[in-house]
Amino acid sequence: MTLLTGQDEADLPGGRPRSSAAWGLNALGIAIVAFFFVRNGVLLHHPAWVWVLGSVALAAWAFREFGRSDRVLVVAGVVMIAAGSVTVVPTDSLMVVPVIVGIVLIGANLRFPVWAAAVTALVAIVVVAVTATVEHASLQFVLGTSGGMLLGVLIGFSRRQFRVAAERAREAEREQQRAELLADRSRAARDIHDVLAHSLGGLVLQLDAVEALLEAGRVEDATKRAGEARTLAADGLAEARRAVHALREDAGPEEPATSTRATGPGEAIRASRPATDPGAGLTALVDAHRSFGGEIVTQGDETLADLDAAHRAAVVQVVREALSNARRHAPGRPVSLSVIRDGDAVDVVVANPLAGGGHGLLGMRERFQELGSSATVEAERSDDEFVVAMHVPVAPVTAEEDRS
Amino acid sequence: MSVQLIANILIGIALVVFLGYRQATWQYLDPTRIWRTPLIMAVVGVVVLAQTKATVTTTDVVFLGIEALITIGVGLTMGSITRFRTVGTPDSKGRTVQSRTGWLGAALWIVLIVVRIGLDVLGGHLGAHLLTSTGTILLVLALNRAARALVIDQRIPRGDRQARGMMVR
Repeated sequence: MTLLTGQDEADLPGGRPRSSAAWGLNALGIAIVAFFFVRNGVLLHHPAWVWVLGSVALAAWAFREFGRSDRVLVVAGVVMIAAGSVTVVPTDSLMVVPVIVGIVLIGANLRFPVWAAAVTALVAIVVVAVTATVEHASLQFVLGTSGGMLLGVLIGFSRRQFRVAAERAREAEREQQRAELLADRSRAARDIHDVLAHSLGGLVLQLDAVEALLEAGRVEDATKRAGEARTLAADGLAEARRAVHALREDAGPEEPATSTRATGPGEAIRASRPATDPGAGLTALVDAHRSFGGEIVTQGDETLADLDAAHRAAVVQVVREALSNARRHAPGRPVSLSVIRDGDAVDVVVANPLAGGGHGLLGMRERFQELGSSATVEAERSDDEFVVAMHVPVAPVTAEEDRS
Repeated sequence: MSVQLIANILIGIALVVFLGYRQATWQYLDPTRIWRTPLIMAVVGVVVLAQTKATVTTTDVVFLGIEALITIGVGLTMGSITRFRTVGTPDSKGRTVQSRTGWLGAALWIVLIVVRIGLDVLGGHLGAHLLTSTGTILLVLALNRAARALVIDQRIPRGDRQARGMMVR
């Protein structure tokens, strides 16, 4: 409700300013009522107080046309109702028009509770009834004007509902933008986690090995290890740079001049993933794992030639994460990696003894969900092993080639 | 006549004591049913009122309007001073929310009754006879309960319940 503050001059749902048609209709109404007020006043010889209060009500209506702040509108509405209701009987119900407009105004104002318009209308009815009693007007007259005011309450209520709905829609939109922002953020976190966990985790293993070798006095081997560690660190740095660069490009789609590499949103998303040499498939990962001193048994096609680029990249990421986890949680234990073609799909399974979960597992699932295909990944403890199993559809081209 | 007057006074006192007791103690509240009482009262009130043959004047409208304003005001106040609590063990109807308005609520009831009697006397003198009919009394009570329900509907704790489409927002 407070959100509407400052833009309550908006008379239409959606926060748009009042349309010129509504403005014109109001102006026409003011003109017509003012004309008949003067004409009837001259004919009926209104007393002075009727002239004054009637003019005040009309002035408030006109004021409301130009009023911009919420307070001005409320004050105008209250004045219209107060001055109008007193003059309803002397002006032969002409002044019920500004009263109804004022009731609608108050009913549609989200700052007031929902019963405000009804209570205001009731007060106005009492005032009209009192003046009718004093001036000996008929009951039908009072009931007729009361009916008009109750109609005003209904109109105000329906307009209020419109505004509430518009407010909700705006709220939902904001919520969605927030969700998108959070999704982006979690993607960035995942990419950073993958790159850093892989490189730094490997680095730690390499440096441990270097330390051990130096303690054993094997300087030659230690130098070789240190060289490998340096390469790994350089690779990790390059990947981190690439990921950050891709994220930057992703963030500014409105600057087409800078996004020479990302031509579409899909590609931008894909580019935001740190890809380890997509052509090589799992070979580089397996080699890296071995170079870290890990033991790995592979089976099947490590290059993932049957998959398209997006799926291959996702599989590479997940396997990297799985291997990273295996090194972290079950160092020195054998890991098995199998790539098995299963009809129109490929099953990739990484299994290692005993490991726990981490942020990476969540990232694995998200990565596969983003592909939007039938690809699935499962990471769970099975007996004494931790198994990461992927089921990935082969690229359409490959599938057709195979059939023919 | 005097016997009937005494009976009326006794019934009135009993009613006030009963209402005061109800307001001051925790009563189970069914959030889905707070609109039931005012609706039934209003329907019965309209039916009874439609059968009254009294001539209606503008004075009637004045007094009815004033009384409606007061009863709505009292109802809104009652709704806003109502306190809620949830109890762990639901009663036989599965209700867990309890409410009470305290002695202020009881005082408001007395105010409403006093205003009602005062307006009756004043209106009777000024020729507003519709005011004293049973239908009007029921309608006034219905308005009071409806105003209270309107406020309670928005304030009621709905932590364990799913958001329900409210009749009025």
